[in-house]
Amino acid sequence: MRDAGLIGEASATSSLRVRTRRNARLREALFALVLLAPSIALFSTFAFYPLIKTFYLGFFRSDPFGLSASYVGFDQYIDVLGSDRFHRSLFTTGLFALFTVPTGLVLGLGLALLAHQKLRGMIIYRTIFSSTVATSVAVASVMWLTLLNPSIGIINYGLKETGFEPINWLGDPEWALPAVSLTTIWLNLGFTFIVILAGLQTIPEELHESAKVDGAGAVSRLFNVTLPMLSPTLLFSVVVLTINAFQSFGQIDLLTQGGPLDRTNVIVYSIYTEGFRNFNEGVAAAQGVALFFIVLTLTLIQFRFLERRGFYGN
Amino acid sequence: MRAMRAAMAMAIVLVAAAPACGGDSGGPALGECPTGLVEKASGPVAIDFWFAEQAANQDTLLRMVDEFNASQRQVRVNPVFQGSYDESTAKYLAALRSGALPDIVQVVDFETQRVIDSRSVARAQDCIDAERTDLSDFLPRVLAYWSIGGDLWSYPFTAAADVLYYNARAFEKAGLDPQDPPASLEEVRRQSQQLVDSGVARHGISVEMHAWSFENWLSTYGQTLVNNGNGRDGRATEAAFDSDAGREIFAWLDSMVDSGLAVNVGRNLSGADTLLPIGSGDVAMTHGSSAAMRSVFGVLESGEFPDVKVGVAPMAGGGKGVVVGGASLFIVNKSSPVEQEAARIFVRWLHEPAQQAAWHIGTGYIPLRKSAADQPALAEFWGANPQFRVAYDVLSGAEVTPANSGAVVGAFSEVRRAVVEAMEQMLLQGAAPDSALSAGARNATNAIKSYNDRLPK
Repeated sequence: MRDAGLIGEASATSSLRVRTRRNARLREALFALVLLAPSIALFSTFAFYPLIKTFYLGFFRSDPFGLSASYVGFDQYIDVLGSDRFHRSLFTTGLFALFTVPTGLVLGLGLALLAHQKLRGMIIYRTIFSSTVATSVAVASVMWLTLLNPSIGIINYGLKETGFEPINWLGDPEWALPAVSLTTIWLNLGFTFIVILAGLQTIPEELHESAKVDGAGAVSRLFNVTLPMLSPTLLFSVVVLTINAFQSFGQIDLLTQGGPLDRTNVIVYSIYTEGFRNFNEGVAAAQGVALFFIVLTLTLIQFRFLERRGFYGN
Repeated sequence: MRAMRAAMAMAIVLVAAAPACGGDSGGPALGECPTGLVEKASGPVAIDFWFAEQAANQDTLLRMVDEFNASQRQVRVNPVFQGSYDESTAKYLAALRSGALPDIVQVVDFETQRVIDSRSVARAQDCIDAERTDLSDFLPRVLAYWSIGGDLWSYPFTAAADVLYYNARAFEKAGLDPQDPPASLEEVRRQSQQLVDSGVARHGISVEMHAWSFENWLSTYGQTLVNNGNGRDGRATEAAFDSDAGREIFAWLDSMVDSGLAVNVGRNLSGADTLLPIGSGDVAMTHGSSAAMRSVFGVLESGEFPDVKVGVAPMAGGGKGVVVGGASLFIVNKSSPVEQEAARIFVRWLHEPAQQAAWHIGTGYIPLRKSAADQPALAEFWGANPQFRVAYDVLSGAEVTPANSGAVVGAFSEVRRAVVEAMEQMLLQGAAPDSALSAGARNATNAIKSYNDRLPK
């Protein structure tokens, strides 16, 4: 750009300058493209291509090994997305999100508030509270499978000792989803805790101090200073927890395999059963497409609805 | 730019490669069996063996493969663990798309028909005939399970039976004869009643929400699971279990759980949920695979549960014999003829009586042939551990019927799901046994029809 200015007479250079500017812009765009190339290649290979292929597979009815397929058009989408089983699965997924997201958020917030104190030994509590983030789904599931075991689990032992009837947590249709949700809340707690604690630490101390000067009590400061300042963090947590809930697989597979009576058969598990147990790829793909749009819509709604209330500083 | 071009080229290659695999098999067509190739090969023939055995069974298998590799110079077996019984078949079918296949694959019993339908495996019978392999020493029940239309498609590998595990000490305390465990469903009810009435156990027997026990109970009543001779005379087209036998079993289950004589432990994902209540004293009996016998004794007689002494007996039911359970070895037809022959050499070695005896002692799966029972090592093992004989006696005894040969049906996993859902509808949702069973059979039939419709023409 500066070079172009050195050429001389304005009248003669004006068209040249435009051309040079256009060239420079083109060069810049190309440079940007080069920088983006690795991520474009990765995303295309591992995200966009599978996504498009999933849409495409939904139009085909596959043979029972997923080797060849015949075109059936929208019929499969209509059959699958209109079936009772799919609607039950949707309902279960929604319920699962409802059980896990608000409770997980409130618990994570509570623990973060407790741990956001300047006390000796707090680091130990912070380590304990965040430890589940380093626990794999498989390990956590096996642990809870043992805790919830109807005959040797410590939870039922406690119930029996205190005079209650033991509960078959994972075998009872009323209790299976709450039990799986409990495992999930526990699993997510470390993540929520860390994110919210980090959010708390970014709130400037002066705000609390000036609120104190104005005579605000602890409760008033929580609701009028902490929570509004924390809203972007909470929004982020809600979005991530919701997406997590819609994509949970490991704990379902290890604790209930979708049972009993489909009460824990969330969409992802249903996709897995169709795709990798029954080798019904087209049906699995159609459900996958539905899940994609649901998560997309939910995320957009949450951003629209919560972003307006979110405080992002100035 | 270069980086981007390379990345784009890579993406294009990946996109293009994904659907292009598969193609024609390199191996011989059905009915052919080229032999004598391994002998002429210039060096040892290497073959990949996908297996699904875990824990102690895996150790035994790997030790045997080492032994085989050391015993000769013609064939080198490379064993590859592929996860549980269910996972390994899923992996095999997924691998059909990429073409990265093994030469031998272990396939769980219920996926037999689906793997045959994939047209990726060589029919074992062709080579058994061509090489004049003598199978007369093998247990007829075992051969029958893996024969379809009279032909063996794969080589039997692991075999086990559903057996009754019971706590002999609880039986004594309740005034029952521990030497005479129940043989019929009515006896299970009577003895459960006595166990509960005498205060020895909260329930008589634990049951799980899995279709395998139902399939075995059907077999003990001489009832097939699906039509067309359990899928052995021709491709199964519908479920056959909505019958008198099916109704009797469902009604029994319902009333047993309803009255508290049986306890439903659910889907039993830990694999031990039916057994642990024996340890905790909640029940005194359960049914389970004889292949789990090592774990059963390992847990229940570890000293942790002093009130437990495990007894093993044939499954209580209709008296006509249970189905063989286990897995077989398929030889993949995409492998070259010389690799297929090498695979057969390995399988024949595994089938030798000495290996069969070692296999049984190391795993609990029954020996597949009668002469293995004459091996001194086995006689000694059975003398010290008579409970390990039970499954062998069960499967070497009863005559072969379509029912106790077990079902072959491509949509087996869907049929099982329909059965489990029917049991859950009845036991958890209060559906009447007859209507739950009928609905289950209808769902199973729909799944079978859908599978058959989707088969390539």
